[in-house]
Amino acid sequence: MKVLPQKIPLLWRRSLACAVLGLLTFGLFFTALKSGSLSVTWDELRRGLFVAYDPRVAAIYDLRFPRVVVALLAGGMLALSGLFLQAALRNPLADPGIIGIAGGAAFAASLAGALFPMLYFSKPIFAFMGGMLAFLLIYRLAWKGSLDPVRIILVGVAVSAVFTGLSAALFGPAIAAPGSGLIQRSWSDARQLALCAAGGIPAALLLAPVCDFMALEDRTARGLGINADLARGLISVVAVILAAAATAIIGTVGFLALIAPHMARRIVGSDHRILTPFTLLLGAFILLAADTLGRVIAAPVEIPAAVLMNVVGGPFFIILLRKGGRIGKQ
Amino acid sequence: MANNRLIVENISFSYGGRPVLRGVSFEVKTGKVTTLIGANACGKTTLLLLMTKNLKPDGGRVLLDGRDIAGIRLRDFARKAAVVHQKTAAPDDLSVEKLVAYGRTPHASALRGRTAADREMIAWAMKAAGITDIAAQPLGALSGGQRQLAFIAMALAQGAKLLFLDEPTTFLDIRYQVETLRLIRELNARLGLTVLMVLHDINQAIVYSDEVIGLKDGSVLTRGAPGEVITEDALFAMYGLRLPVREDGGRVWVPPV
Repeated sequence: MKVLPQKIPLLWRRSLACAVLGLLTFGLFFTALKSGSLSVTWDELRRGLFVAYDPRVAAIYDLRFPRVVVALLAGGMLALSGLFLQAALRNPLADPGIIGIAGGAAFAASLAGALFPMLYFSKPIFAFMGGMLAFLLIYRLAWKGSLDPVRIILVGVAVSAVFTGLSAALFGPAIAAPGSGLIQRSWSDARQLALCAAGGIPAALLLAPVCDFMALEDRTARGLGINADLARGLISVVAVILAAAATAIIGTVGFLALIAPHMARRIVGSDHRILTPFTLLLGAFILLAADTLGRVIAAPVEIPAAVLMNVVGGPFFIILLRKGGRIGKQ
Repeated sequence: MANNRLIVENISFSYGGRPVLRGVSFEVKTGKVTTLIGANACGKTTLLLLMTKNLKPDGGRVLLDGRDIAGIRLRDFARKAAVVHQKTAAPDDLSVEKLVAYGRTPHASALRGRTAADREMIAWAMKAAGITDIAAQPLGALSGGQRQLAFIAMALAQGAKLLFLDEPTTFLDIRYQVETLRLIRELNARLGLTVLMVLHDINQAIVYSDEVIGLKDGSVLTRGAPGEVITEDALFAMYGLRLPVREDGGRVWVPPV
């Protein structure tokens, strides 16, 4: 993997990148709140939120605010999930959407919605079980003495197709979406997602240093006293939790989990101590940007963030595949 | 007092129903350089993996100072034995120094950061491997030989008294082959490291080892000082090929065909 030229010292580049991305996300957050069919000025937004009641700002608080929060959380969680899957499977093309984890999670979440519509939190739990099932299937089927990177993708695509097909057969032809993407996300959704994030994200940050050892051969990691199999298992479970929770709330969003970690690696390098929080933030930024863009470019028609991600992510995936000659040989 | 005595006791191992090792026993001489030789697929690498807790034997055991290594925690084992594998992987943007610092992992604690002792070991290991001048370079910018030296330095930073190497010269040009083997010899002489390595090149095995163990079909065919062990008959038994063994200046050598 090539990184940006080393002219700027790494520490400076990393600090600068974090600061810039942080500011951009901060700005985007308020821009997203402000823009849309119900439009307010900056001053009205500020007053309505912090000073006095304003019915229009109250509507934004009830309708748009949770959507923005969900987009940030889900985007960050999906990106982290991709980063961790790529580390655990030692496969730069791993993405919970492409290899069927999101498909399994979405199917199980739909099932939970149909079976226990009243049970709070049943969707994320079912989604986790569905995602785990898909992951174990992929792992088992792609295993031939060792994990073949290309086999993982091929098996994953098949597993993904099966779950998408099952969802379509049982719950109608709508592309496996437990909710309808980010549209009409409520505070209840935001709370459920935040609860999962409160468990998954700290776990991911704690495991980040271990991810670095996954980039070595398992034998080398073991030689350093790292239980490579246990580490891989833990990293995978965290990845599945993150992907499943996001999918349970907003449905399947492809490619985000692929793009964000790759961009992040280009910018801050492959040290997971920095890469993990940066990917989290970048994923949050990208999904919120896609959602906000989708709301405004063709208003009053909304283009779902998942559709935008597919349009941008598809070509990106192809570029990675073309560079993938190296990947197969590793 | 631990003296790093390593004994392989009647090890057997099969892979997918095919026996790879059948009752292998030997003792690695402490403070010496021992080399495993033998034809492809004779079980050399498998034996090394069994001796480093990467694989579990079907029968028999490996004893380190009288303790079965199966009962030693991975982390504790990593403080006593360091391994350089044939195949290595690492991100291209990882610096040499960071890689070498990984060698301190078995000594690290989550509560305290890197200690002065850690930094000292890292600097020492890089100096011993002769790579101090490229400490800041990313691995992606190194030649195969430099990369190999970086991984050896990582193993040295573990501060272990036992060093395992699986075909350390296979992918290197002749300069780095010699440089690597000289370094191994020097580490053995200066620090008293016990070295067990797998080599393909018979002449390198002769020159750089105190003891050679010849494997054939998963059993020990012969073992002893290189001059006694490397005979035309032994080579024929191991490789199925009649090779002349010459003697020159008190040392045997095998002219390549």
